[in-house]
Amino acid sequence: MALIEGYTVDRAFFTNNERDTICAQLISDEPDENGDFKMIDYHLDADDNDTDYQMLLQSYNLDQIHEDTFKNIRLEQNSIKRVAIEVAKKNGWILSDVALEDDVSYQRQDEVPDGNTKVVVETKEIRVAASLPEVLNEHVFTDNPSTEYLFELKLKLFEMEFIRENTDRELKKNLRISKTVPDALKAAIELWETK
Amino acid sequence: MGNEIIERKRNTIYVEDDKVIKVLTANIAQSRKIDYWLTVYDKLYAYDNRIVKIYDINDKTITMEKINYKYTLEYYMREFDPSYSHKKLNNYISQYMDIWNNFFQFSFTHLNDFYFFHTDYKLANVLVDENDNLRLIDPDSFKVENLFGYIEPAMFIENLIRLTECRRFYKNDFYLDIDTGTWLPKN
Repeated sequence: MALIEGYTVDRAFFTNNERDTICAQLISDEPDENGDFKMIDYHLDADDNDTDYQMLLQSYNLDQIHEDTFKNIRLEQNSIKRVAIEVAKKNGWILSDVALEDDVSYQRQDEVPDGNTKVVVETKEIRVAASLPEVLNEHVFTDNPSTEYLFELKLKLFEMEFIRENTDRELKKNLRISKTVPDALKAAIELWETK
Repeated sequence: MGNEIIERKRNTIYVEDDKVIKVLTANIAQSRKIDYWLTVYDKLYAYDNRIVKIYDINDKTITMEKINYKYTLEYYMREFDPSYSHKKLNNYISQYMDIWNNFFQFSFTHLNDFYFFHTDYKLANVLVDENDNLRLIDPDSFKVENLFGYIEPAMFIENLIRLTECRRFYKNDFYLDIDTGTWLPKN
């Protein structure tokens, strides 16, 4: 028996930390005159004595509800991060190079681990381009340069047209073998000046 | 140049005391990207030093480390090994898979939009050194690809099967068909 006649449970998730309230999102079985399916949020108590809860469990099991809850939390977190990033971009606090769900490693956070899956790749938080002071202090003028940043910088520089099309192997080699960010930038500037 | 010279169809290899120089008959494709390529290669070497170390590279020449090795995996698969054990073979299989997996892991971890792969990951390109560690040669076969389909996983899978089938040699009821490189029942 359905919670509402003519509607099927699309997903259901707990709405509080105590996990005693559930939001069941119901979708209409038939489209309306515009061809759209109607969605309804149906709230109920997660109580074994509750008739609605008993009906929900007839078509949707508890594992699915926990899984949907996990996904829903992720969705909400993504939305908040997206808003925060937009605000930061508008205020000039960060540059525009932002990866959210397009980032492969980021997507892995959305995977729900099960007993058969071993997560072997370290998940990354969203990657937001560092602000200029951060770049200068943490990556350029520092005694502890990040090799990962240097590697990414070199790849980005090699992709730039004036370097990619430059045929001076010696100058390009200087960029390749540079051990620090200032050295890499120096080599890139030399390539720029000889273009 | 070189104590030993190996002439092949598309390259000539000069083996010196401490290095190997591979001279290609044609220029390396997209020579303007050599330094970009080598930057990625060096990073992969830091990630898994079982790939051969490259000292220098230009349009036609690759200078790399000389590896002291016992045999290639291709040779091992074809020849009888008096000191064979399952553990020994499993060690080779394990490393062969691990190196392949590291191409993936490296690409996922350090490269955002593309894969860096050895496109000729055949048994003849894998050396076994004196400590039974595998070493991967033919570095110019490493390619930057942005689509998984281009990396031809079938070659890896086929060679993995051939390697695992090698144990049949020691059961004495199979023989290696040289033409196809596969193990067949004796009867």
